[in-house]
Amino acid sequence: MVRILQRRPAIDTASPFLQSHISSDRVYSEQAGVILQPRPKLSILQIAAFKGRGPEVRRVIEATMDTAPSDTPNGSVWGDGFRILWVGPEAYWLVTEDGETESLASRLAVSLFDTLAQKAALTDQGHGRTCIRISGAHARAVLAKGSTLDFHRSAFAPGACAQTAFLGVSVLIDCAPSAAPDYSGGDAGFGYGVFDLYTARSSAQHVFESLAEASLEFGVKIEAET
Amino acid sequence: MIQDQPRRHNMIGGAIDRDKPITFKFDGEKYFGFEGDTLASALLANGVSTVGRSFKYHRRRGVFSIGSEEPNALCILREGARAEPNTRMTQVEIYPGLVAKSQNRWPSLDWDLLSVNSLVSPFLAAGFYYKTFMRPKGFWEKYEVLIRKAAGLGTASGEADPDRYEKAHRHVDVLIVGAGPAGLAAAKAAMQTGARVAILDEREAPGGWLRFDRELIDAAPSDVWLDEAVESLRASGNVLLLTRTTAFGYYDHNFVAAVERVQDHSAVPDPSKPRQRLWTFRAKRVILATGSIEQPLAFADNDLPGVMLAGAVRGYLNAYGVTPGRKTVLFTNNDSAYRTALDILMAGGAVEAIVDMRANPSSAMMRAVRDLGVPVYSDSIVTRARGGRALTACDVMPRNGDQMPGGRPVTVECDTLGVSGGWSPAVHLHSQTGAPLTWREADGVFVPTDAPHNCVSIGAATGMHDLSDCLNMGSAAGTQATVGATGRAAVSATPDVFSLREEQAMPIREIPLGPAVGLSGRGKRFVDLQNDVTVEDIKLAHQEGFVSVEHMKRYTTLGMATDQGKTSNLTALTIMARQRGVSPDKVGTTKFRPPYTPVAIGAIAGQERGAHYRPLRRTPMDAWHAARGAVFQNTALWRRPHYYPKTGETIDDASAREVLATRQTVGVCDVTTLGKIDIQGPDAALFLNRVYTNGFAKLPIGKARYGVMVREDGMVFDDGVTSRLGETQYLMTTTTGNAGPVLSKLEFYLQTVWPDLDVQVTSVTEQWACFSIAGPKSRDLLSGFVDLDISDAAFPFMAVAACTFAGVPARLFRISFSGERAYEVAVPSDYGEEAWSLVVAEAERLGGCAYGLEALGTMRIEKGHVAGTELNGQTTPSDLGLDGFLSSKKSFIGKAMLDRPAYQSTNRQKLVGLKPVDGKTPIKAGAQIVEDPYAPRPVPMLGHVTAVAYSPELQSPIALALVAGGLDRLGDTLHAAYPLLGETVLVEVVSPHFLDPEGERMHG
Repeated sequence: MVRILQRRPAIDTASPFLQSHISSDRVYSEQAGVILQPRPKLSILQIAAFKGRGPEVRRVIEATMDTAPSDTPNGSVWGDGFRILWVGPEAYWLVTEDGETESLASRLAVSLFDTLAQKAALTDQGHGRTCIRISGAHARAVLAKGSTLDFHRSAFAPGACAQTAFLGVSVLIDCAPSAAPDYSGGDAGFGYGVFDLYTARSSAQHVFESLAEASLEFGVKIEAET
Repeated sequence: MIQDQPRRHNMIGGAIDRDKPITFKFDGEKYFGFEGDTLASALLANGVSTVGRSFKYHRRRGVFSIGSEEPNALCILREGARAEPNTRMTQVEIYPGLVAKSQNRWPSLDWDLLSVNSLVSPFLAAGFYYKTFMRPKGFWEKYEVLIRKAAGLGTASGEADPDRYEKAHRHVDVLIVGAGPAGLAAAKAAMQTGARVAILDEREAPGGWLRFDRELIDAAPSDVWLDEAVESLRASGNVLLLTRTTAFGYYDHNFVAAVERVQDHSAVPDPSKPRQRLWTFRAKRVILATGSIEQPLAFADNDLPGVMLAGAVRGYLNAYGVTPGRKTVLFTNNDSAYRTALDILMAGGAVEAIVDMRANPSSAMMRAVRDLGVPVYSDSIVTRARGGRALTACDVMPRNGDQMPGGRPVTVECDTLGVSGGWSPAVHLHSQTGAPLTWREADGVFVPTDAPHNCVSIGAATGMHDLSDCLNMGSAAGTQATVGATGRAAVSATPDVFSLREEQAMPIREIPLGPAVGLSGRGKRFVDLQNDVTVEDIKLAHQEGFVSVEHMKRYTTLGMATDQGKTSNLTALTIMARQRGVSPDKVGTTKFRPPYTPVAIGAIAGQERGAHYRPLRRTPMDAWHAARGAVFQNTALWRRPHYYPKTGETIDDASAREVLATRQTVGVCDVTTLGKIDIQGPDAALFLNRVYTNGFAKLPIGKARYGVMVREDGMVFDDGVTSRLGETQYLMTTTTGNAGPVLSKLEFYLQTVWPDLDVQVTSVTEQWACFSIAGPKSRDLLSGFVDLDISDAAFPFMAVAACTFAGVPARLFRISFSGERAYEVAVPSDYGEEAWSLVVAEAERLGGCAYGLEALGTMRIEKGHVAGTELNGQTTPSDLGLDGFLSSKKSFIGKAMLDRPAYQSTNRQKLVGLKPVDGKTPIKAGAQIVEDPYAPRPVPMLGHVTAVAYSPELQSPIALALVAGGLDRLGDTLHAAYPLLGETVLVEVVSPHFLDPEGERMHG
């Protein structure tokens, strides 16, 4: 008996907690200031260069993906269908996304397994980490409720990623490029943004529910998984 | 509505909206107020003079102040689960349907039985309880019940708080605490450069005392300047202006914590909003514009309802249109009471007299008041307030230095007595930085000095009184802070202020007693209204040797509780200084500690409550477990199935069924939570040889090995199975609880101890869903799913291989914790649930089932495998019977320590098995092992029981224990004593390997 298994994502967007808090139309609104979206089918290849192999590993990644990884801490770079996140000294995450068919980016990522063997520790983390996209006019204010990092738009812009704790859970937050936000008064620096938050699969439901609760005052919409 | 409110002025009052009347209830009575009122202002407008009873003597108390310093007007706000005790009425904004109850009275505010305490008050002085309830010895516990009932402030609801709380964090260039004139001027200046600014104010609207005073700025009422300032700050994109927000703690490196009362001004919070929000700010510069707090004067019976701070009298009039009294007397040692007089007169009210302690007051304000016909008694004091339920008059006498004045007092009729002992800077936050305070003799206050270089106090918080000076200082500080924080230059204009200058105040607040009057003698001079501490109590403390402020505080309770002595500490320590004959700065202040005002625990917990109290970790199969009715047990942050009860089954029934099914056919267990660490690199083998006691360098590829890790001190740290996946790649497993600590330790070794080793470690615990398939039919079950030859020849015990499982890439391990033939399967986590459900279905078809932690535990005890309760940080490998894993061919962490003589002692507590001699009595985990439970105490302890189970196969209770001498006692009969329940069980020492000691089942 051989049967191909189906992936089951870590986040239940209809959990009892979410249903009890995000049931009324007023909160679950089209005007939502925060949009939460699980992104369950990403591939994450962790690349950690062995001693003295850092420059070589960077060159291979650049040659394969046509994009050089950030050489400064907490930097992220991106191309068509992939992002490369700095996660430690000479260590990166190559995050790729598949649609209906396998993308070029993921084929390239797979090819790195061969070309980087013996140069770097290669570890698949695609099932171990769960990604949640947080966007909307108040996305920054929501992040600043769970993490003590500075999420002001001048301090955490596209091209930045950081590992931090969100309400006590380890997460990696990556600021994705987005259209320029509308300027508004008051706490404007903590307004619009698009972020991918990666957390351990086991804690993903907790983090997702906490994000939803923190977003309630702005109106929160939970979008279907992609 | 005005008709319902006898004390409401019909014109004045910018803070209230007369078009929006509000009904509320206080102690069951219905009252009206207006939107913008506080509970204090609304009750005063309604002519309510008594709002509470005092802490110790249960004396009547009225509203005393107009801010967070309020000592008297505390209430239980709201009802049911939302009831909040000790809420300051001066800070409670009224809302429709508000319900509040007074505190500290029984049965009612008007008729309080415990007010008899007042009659025996001569015996209730400071230290009364300490002295009285010392004897007879041991009776304290009985007294305590009664004292607790009589004492204390409000009571908590006892119900769970139904509302939400949360936190928020900001990094700013400039943080300004206090949105009074100085703070606003600073914010305006800082804003202009584009610096990131946050400005906080504890009141419901910005403005500070501009809202309570009548001032002119740029030739217009100060409201105009205030509105313009607030509007420009709100319109700016870089200013966060928070009202109802109290900065309560100032911590290292300009880290300031504040609590925002987001929804406290409504009966039931908007469900989308938290009730309160805890803010933290990390600021490059902090500006403290916290203002100052008016101090009272300590004269006899100064606690009668009707005695208020003079500034509060004027604030209630100007902001809320409340005229607390029809006949007002003002008693002061400085000029600010004259402002109150002028404002009352402007509003058409009557000022009966001003009693000024100073010999020759001569300011323009004083002359203006006198010219309006108000009698000014200079060089005089109020010796006593008079009245029963409330103030009716006060006695005025000429001052005779510190001595009791001679002659007969002049009695002046009044229903309000506004007192002013000068304005003490709110130095709390400044002082929390550790910076010093300096005593200013002229008006008897402490002022902030020598602030850290990135912090500054401005305005009234520095002891400054003049509005013009405050605005100038604010603008300059805002500019300077911005330049310091951002490096950008700033310019700002300073407004022009017309204000009456105040003159020198007098630094004395203790008023001598006057002649005795009737039964009540010479009256009580209260220093601390909240804790009922009098001038005499402080003198008693001095007399009894409690001369340091910290001792005085604890002996008298002065400065404790909700107001933390905001209107009492200063007076108390000047009295103590005089008793000691030293300057007050030699006495010093008690330590200013956070919080500035009380903070609800809910705000500190934030979102981490209820279901989210701790981050719950779920395995990929969690939903299946829940759907099958698993009873969960928490292991570290994970929840794991404890057992899967069928209808009517107890934990023992279910676990026995799961064990038997596994031992007889096949059982499946979710073991995802075990830590998994991917170890890669040219030096991986060498590295493992150093961290494990046994060898791993020669482990063949495709094989697994049990490994033991000890700490530097030689005690066992963790154990687990590590497999070699390739020449330079290993997969280590750890216990569930130690997954994090082991990874940290490995990182520590690689980064600091052996940075020369070329090894990368990373956690892959989350990447793989793992389940073990155990029992005689495990191979039959597995063969239907994997594309691998799993015959014993091809895949023997401890074999490891990559394979596909139901079409997805997987890893297969032949390892066993249960002692049966067993396999562990790892599939990428997202496939975990479906893989698991297929495997359990197949197991059930074969007569087996899923099993939980209880069955897992039973089976490991039957096999004598060690786990968390034996790996307790006090056991060496040898204690646990793991000597065979101590390599003699290589060194490893902790090896040197294992040779210590104490570790070789034959009397060490070592792992053994225990069985009840009668074959049936259960043994309790944690029971103490003794030779003779009836031996004279202390009974020598030989060890303790670490794990217990009922073995369904042996049909007997069994246990593991650590016992002195270990297996040398094999066959001995000992007692497992459980003194908490008075139980002892006669046990026999046996081998810890209860079942299949040769491991035949496991090897197949």
